[in-house]
Amino acid sequence: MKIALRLYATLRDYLPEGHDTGVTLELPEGATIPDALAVLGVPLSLAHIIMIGGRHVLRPDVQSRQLKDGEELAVFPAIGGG
Amino acid sequence: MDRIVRVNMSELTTSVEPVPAAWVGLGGRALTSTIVAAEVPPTCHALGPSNKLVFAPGLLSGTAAANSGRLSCGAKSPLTGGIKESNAGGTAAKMLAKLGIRALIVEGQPKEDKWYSVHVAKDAITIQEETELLGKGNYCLVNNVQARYGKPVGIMSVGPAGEMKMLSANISVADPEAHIRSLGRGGLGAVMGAKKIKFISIDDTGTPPVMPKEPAKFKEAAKIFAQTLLDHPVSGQGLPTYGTDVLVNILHEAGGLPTRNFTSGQYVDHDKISGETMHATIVARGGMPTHGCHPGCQIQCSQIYNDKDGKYLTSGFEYETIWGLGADCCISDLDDIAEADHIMDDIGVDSIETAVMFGVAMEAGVLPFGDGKGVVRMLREEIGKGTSLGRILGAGTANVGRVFGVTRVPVVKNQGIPAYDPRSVKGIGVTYAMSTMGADHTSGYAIATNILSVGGHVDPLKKDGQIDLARNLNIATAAIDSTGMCLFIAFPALDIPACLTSLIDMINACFGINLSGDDVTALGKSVLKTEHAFNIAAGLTKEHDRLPEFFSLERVPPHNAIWDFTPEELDTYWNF
Ligand code: SF4
Repeated sequence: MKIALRLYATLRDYLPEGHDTGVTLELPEGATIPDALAVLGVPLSLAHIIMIGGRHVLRPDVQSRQLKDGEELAVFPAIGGG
Repeated sequence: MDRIVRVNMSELTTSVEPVPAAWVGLGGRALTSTIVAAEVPPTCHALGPSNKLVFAPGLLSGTAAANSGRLSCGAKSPLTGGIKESNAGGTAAKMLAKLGIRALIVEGQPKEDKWYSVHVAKDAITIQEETELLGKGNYCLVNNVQARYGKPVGIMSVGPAGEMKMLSANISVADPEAHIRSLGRGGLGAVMGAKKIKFISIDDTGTPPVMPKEPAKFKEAAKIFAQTLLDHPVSGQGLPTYGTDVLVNILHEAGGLPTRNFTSGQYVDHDKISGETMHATIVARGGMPTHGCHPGCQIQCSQIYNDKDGKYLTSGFEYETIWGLGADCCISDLDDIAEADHIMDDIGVDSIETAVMFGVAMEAGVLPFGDGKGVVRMLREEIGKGTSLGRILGAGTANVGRVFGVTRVPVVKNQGIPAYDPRSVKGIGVTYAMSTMGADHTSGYAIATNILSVGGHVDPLKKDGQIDLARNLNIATAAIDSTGMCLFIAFPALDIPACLTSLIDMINACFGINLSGDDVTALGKSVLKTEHAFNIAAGLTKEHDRLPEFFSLERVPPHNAIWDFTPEELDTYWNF
């Protein structure tokens, strides 16, 4: 299956050459969020805010939430403003 | 010795008095709101002689405490018709605190059609007639006044918009680089203009630093406090690197980035105006990505943004401004937005009110969506020069909506709604509706918990828990706004217990008192109640604690979210 992974702020350092904002990943069925992040080597500890389709995935669900084909995953470090 | 300074513009006299017992132990917003509530008739005309303009440094301003240099300014707001407190960085708060001035109260109104400046120094407070700098922008004014005194005096000033008493006019505060910070919201610049004061300058020469009553205890607490600011990833890394504009992308992802005058929650060109893009642009052009708005700011979320030729264009380039002209007006060129930001600082208009207003003006067809050059021209040629159209645009979002017959007008209590859609981020919607200030994200920043996972998480799309969240944040913020602390200390304070305890320890050591956490909460509550009582007496009833109707009629993509709090639910906010 294919999912879109978008990284923000300091996490963009983990994007491969030629990708400014995110990548499309080919992952096996049943892959999880940590699986997707592992492809680019993003440490899970830095993934402070995780959204799928614009909805937050909370800490307790991060390990178990299985990704589905076509989903969009957005990952942020701890950020703030106002 | 701590004192209160009064500047009477009717008599053109100044006086100094001891701090009355009822005001001892108050600073910042607690003091400005207490004074306004005690001395300003709630039903007075905000631009008439009965209104008072009150400046107050925070409780810890002038001490060595990190991030303690915020200046509060209060009055009855000509925009909302209620009480107003707005705060900013710059050098003024520290100087006033060193001079022992807990509050500077400007009252009355000159009888003659003349303009004045006020100079505050150690031995004298004087009023002078001002002619040379009338009509001048804030950048020029700051340079001229500092050249007159031959030193970097503190300055609070109004630009042409304040002279014209526009409802979007702000008060500028000079920062350490002689750039501009703003007491932005609520039309306080119009109040200063109505008092015919072009600027107030402050010279703290010959004053010692503010000494805490218990220096050793203070030093220890200040060290712990500063460490918590460093340790938290938002205040220690995120804000200094990307500034507040880092929020563009996350609000876009969450579907809460108001776009095209609040008709969508996502902006297709979000990456062009994002904090990441701004950071890269600043670095490439030799600007400063990290900069403090006042001496002693440790977080340093501000920045210096240069133009294509590497010359200074603007600083304090905030998310709300970039969102407003960017997503809400669909202007995707960051340089156009930066130029507009510079002009807004120079002519002295609130960049949130003005950006939200332009979204409504674009919907009305005054200029097309996306017309960045048109915005720059209108700021300079219409608003800055006070043409008839400029006067209308400078009168703020609500008035522009009325004049042009627009029904989608995002305001509460006539003040423009900032950068987060209340339908898809419901906690901030409660703050907008209920804040004593009118629509103001800073008065209870529910984004922290709804979106940023700071201080826990409350689902932004559900109603559950939002009223309690907004109430608690508004209470805590009213207390923080009284300390002189920048609100961004709330990020560590929400996650690291030692941040708040060390803050209270600093206050206790500074004044030789013994406040508890409960006392601080009680202070926040009493500030809100004082402000609420003023608003009710001024005619702002619970029917004003509501969002505009269109939020309950129009669903906003991508989540098809709607505003669905009932009036009865909202009114429970005041149950404390
Ligand atoms: S963190 Fe930002 S807003 Fe706060 S005091 Fe520092 S520069 Fe000013």
